[in-house]
Amino acid sequence: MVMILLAAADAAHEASGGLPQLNVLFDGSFTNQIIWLALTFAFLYIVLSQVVLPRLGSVLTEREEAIAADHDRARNAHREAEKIKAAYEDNLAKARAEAQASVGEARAAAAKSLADAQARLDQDLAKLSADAEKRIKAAVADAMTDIGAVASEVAADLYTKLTGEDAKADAVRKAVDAKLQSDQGAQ
Amino acid sequence: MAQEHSPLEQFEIHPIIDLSFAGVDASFTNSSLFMVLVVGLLTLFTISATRGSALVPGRGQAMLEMAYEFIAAMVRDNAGRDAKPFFPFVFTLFMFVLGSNVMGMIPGSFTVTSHIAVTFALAALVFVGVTLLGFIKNGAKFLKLFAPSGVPLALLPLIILIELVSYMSRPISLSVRLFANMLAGHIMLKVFAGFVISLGSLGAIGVAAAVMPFALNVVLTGLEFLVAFLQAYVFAILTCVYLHDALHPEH
Repeated sequence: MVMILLAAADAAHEASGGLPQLNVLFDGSFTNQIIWLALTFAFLYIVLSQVVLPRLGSVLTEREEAIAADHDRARNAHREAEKIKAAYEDNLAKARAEAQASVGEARAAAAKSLADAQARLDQDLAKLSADAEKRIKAAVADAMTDIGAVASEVAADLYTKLTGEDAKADAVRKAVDAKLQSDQGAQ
Repeated sequence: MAQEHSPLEQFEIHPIIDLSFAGVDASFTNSSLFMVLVVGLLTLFTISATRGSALVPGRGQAMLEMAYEFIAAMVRDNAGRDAKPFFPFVFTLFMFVLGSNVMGMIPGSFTVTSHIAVTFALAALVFVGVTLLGFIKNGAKFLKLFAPSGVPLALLPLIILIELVSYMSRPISLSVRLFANMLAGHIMLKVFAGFVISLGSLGAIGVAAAVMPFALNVVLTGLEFLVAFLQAYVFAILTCVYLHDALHPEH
């Protein structure tokens, strides 16, 4: 790079008499550059330091603050959400326990009512069967008394047929009753 | 003919309006025109981009915020936290040099920072300002900068001499670095562009051969944009380093 520079400077020197950069130093006209540099640089310094940089600085701090505030808010929201979640889970557990308890209660009540119904049914059935037995016994007793009359009639008829004599109904009856009673006693 | 195509023609200063104050040449030249253009465009851009000062920035504002934070970090890290009052100056310096360098990349334009008079004036501003600041802030203790603590007494004269020379050469190195970079870059671009033209006038083979310097010029243009930014950055960061020395002379 330096060689190219030197070669170019040399060539230019031969052609037109040195680097323009050095020529302005020698003939004193460099002052115009310095004066305009001072003016423009000072202007730029004032613009940047008085307007642009304060704007940028304030917007940067503003943003930093906004981000910090948002961050805080997000953290708070997160904490609240966590709290709500814990409460929700608490409630859920409570509700579940309650549900469990009420299911147990319902089950117990159902079992109790089932047992009650069973007992009542058993009772009713026992009563019914006792009644039925009683009725059967009465029917049997009825049948027994009727059987005496029927048997007397049959016996009287048999007696008439066999002997040709009229049977004395009372006597037959007595005999049949006695026979029945003895049979019943034998039973 | 050689004068017409000289790669140095682009650095020549032509007065547009002849002015002089008390015998001192203050003509408005093509250089002044481009200084005014650079500063005018920078002013227009920075003012309009920050007009809304929106919490959610637009393109221009985002760019300026990046520059703001970039330079602010540079000042903070290299010059220290107490250098904050000089942040606007460093920012202006960076913007002016960057604007001038980039403006110079427009073909046919004038590169303000390719003149040693301009870069030396800027470097001298930094040098004189920093030296004054050093003495105002620290008084005679500022001279400790040239005599680091912990140096054996026998070596002290040598060290002081070296430190003094290095301190005094600061404005020269600062200004020549920027000036030489701009000068060399623009000369190279012009030289290779000249090759393209002269080869192109040699017929078909010449045109085919001219592709090479042309391709090189494309690459160089990219490089020059990098240099334009880099030199502005270097100028600003060295200013910060010098500010640090003025604020904290004890090494």
